[in-house]
Amino acid sequence: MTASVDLDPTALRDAVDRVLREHRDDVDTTRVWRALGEVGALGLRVPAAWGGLEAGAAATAVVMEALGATPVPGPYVASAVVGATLIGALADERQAAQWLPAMAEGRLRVALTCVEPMATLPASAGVTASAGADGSWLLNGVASPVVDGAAVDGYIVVARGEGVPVQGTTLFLVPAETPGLRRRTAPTFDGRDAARLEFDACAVRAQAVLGGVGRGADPLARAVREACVALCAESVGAMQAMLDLSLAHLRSRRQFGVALASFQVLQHRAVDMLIALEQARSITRLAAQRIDEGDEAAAQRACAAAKALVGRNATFVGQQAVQLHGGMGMTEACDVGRYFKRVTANDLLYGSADHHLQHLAVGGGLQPLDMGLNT
Amino acid sequence: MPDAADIAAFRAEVRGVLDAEIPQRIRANLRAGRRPTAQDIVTCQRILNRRGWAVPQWPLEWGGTDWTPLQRQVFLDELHATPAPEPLAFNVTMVGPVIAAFGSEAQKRRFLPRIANLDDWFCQGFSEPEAGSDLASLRTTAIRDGDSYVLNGQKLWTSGAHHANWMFGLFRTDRQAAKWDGISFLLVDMKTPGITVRPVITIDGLHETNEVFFDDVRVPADNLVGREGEGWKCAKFLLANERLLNGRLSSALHGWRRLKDRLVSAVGDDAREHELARRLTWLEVEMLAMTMTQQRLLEQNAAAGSSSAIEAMASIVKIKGTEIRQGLLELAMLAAGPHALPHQAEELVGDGVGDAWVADWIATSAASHCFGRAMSIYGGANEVQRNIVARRRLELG
Repeated sequence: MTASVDLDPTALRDAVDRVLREHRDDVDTTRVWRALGEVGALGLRVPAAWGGLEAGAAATAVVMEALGATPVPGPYVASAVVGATLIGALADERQAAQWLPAMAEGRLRVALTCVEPMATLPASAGVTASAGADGSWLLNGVASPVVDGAAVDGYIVVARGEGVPVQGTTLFLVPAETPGLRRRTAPTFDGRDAARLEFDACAVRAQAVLGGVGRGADPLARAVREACVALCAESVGAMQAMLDLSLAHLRSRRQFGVALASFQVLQHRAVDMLIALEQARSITRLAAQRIDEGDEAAAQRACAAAKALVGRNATFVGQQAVQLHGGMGMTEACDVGRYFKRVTANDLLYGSADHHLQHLAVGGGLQPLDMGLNT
Repeated sequence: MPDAADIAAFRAEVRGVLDAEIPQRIRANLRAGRRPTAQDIVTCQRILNRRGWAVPQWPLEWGGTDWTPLQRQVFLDELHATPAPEPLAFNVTMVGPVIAAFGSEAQKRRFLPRIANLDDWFCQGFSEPEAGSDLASLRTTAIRDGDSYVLNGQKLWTSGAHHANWMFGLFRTDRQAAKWDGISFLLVDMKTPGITVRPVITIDGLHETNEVFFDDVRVPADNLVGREGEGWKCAKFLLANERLLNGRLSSALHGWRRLKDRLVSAVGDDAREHELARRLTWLEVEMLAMTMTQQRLLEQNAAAGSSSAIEAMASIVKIKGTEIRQGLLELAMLAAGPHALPHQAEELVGDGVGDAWVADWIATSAASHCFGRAMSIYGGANEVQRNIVARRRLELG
C-alpha cells in the first residue's frame, strides 16, 4: 500500500494536534473521536475507495508521533491503524461497506484480540474456531487482555482452527454484541482500557471470516508490524514530550541556590536522553519506510530492530524523566508520569525490547543490505 | 539526483579502479585488522588523487568533486569494501578545508595541491600536557618578531608527527587577550630547527602518536592562517569536521560485516544463540539507527545552517558513533576469546583444522580494542561533547 498523492502527513498531524488541544478538557471521548474523524485522522489507513486517505506506514508514523505528545483518548492504534489496515486489506465488499466508512468517520471502532509478538502467537491465541451448522463457525475460548478493547464496536478475532475443515489461523470480524461473547473490562495503568473476551459457543456466520479460512497468519504478521511501528512512533512523541518537560524543569527548579540545569551530571543525563530520542526517531522512520517499500523480510527485521531500540531507549528516557523531576515526578499531577506509563506499556505490547532483540539475533541479525551496503 | 542506473555505473567505475590499482598486499593487511603503513597511505592517496578522488569534499576549484551525498557514500563504501586506507584525515578532512575556507590565495595555491597529493603530510598540533579537554587553555606561545613568529612550548598526542613534514597547530600569540582570543592557527615546517619529536607508545604497544617540543622555533608570519587571534574560529570549524569523521560508521560497517562472518567461525554453529550474538545484534540496531540519525541531522543542518547547530550535531555523531565503533572492536576481541591474548598470535598458529582463522584477525583484535579506547577521548572527550550538546542544543547551563 502506498501513500496517496494528496496526503500531507504534516498537515494531518497539525490538524490532529489542533483537535486534541481544542478537546483537551472534553470528558466526552466520543465527541473527540468524531472530531478526529472529521479531520481525516481516523481514515488514515482506510482505502480511498471507502472514504479514507490510504496512507502508508511512514505517514502514519508522523501522525503517531503527534499523538505521543498529546495522547488521544480512544483505541487509535487498535482501530485506526491495525483495525483499518487489516479490514482494508482483507474485507469483502459487504464487510468493507459496513465497517470502513463508519470507522473513518469515527462512528465505529474495532480492536484486534492479540497484542502478542508473532513468535508466541500460536500458544497464546486462546480462541478456537470449529465448524458449526450451515457453514457457520463456533468460537470458543478466551482472549485477554484485548488492549483498547473495552469500548469498541467490533473485534478482529484471532482464532486457531480446530479439527476440520482447516488448520491454521483464521481472522473473524465479530460485532461486540454477538450472543455468546461476554466482555469484561478494566482500565490499564497507562490510561487505556482492556477487555477480557470470553467466547462460549459464540456462533458467527461464514461471512464473518476476514480474508479467508486459515489464511490469517500472514496478514496478521503484517498488521503486527504496523502496530509495532505505530507504537514506536507514539513512544517517540512521548519521549520528546518527556525530554521537553525535563529540560523546562531543569531550567526552572532551583536547589542549593542555583538552577538544576547548572549541574553537569544532569546536563549529561539530558544529552544522553536526547541521543536516545534521536536514535529512536531514526529507527522508527526507517522501519516505516521498509514497510512501505514492501520487502516483507526486510520490513520484519527493521520493525524488530525498531521495537527493540525504541523499547530500550524509551524506558531509559522515561525513567530518567521521572528521576530528574524528583518527588514531583512521582505524582499524578505531573504530566511526565503519564508519558512514562505510556512508553512503559508500549514496550509490553507486541513483544518487548528483549524479545525482539533475542529473535533478531537468533534469526541472524541485521543484514548488510539493511545497512545500505552493497552485496 | 542521479538515478539508480547512474549510481550503479558510478559504483562499477569506482570498484573497477580500486580493484585494478590498490595493491593486494595493502588490502590483505587492512583485512587482517592491521593499520596501513605511512607508505601505504601515500600510495593509495596518490592513486585516488590521479583520478581526482582524493578530496571529494573540497571546493571544486581546489580539486573537489560535484558528487551528491549518495555518490560520496558509494565511494566510501567501495573504498572500505576493497579495503583501502582513506586519504589522510589530517590533510583532507582537517587542514585542507581550513586553508580553503580561511587561508590566503597564496596559501591555497601553495598548499592545497600538495595536501591533496600527500606531497606534504600534516600532523595536528592542538593538545598540550595542560590543555586536553580544556583545549583553549593551551600555552605554547608564538611571539611575533619581525616577519616571524617564535614558538616555545610543547604539544602532545601528535599522531603521525614522525611521518609528517608539516604541522598545523594552535599557538598563543597574545597572552593578555581573553583565553579564546589570543590563539592563532599556524602552519609549521617540521624541519625547522628547534623542533624535537619523541614517540609516545600507546596501550596497543604501537608508535602512532608523539610529543613535540618547540625551542625558539622561527616560523614565517606568512604561515598564519586567517587573522592573528582568530585561531579558535578555525579550530571550531576543523573540530566539527573531525568529530563528524570520528563518528562516521562507513568503515565500521565493513568491519562489522567481517566480524559477523568471523563470529560464526569463532563461536561455532550455535553462534546465533550465543550471548555475543545478542550483544552484536544490539550494536547492529544502534548502527542502523545511527545511519539514519546522521542523515537526518545533516539535512536539518543544511536547512538551519547555524554554526552552533552544526557543532551540536557533530558532537552527537561523535558520541554515538565512537561508542558503537568501540563496541564492535570489543566484541571482535571477545569473540576471539583467549586466542586474543598472544601479542603475535601468528606464532602460536599450527596447521590443524580451525587454526586458519586465528592468524587472520585474532592477532590484532586486542590491540585494536585497546587503541579503540582512544576514540571517546580524542577529538574532544565525549564528556566535552556532552557539554557542547547541553549548551548549544539543549540550552542548559
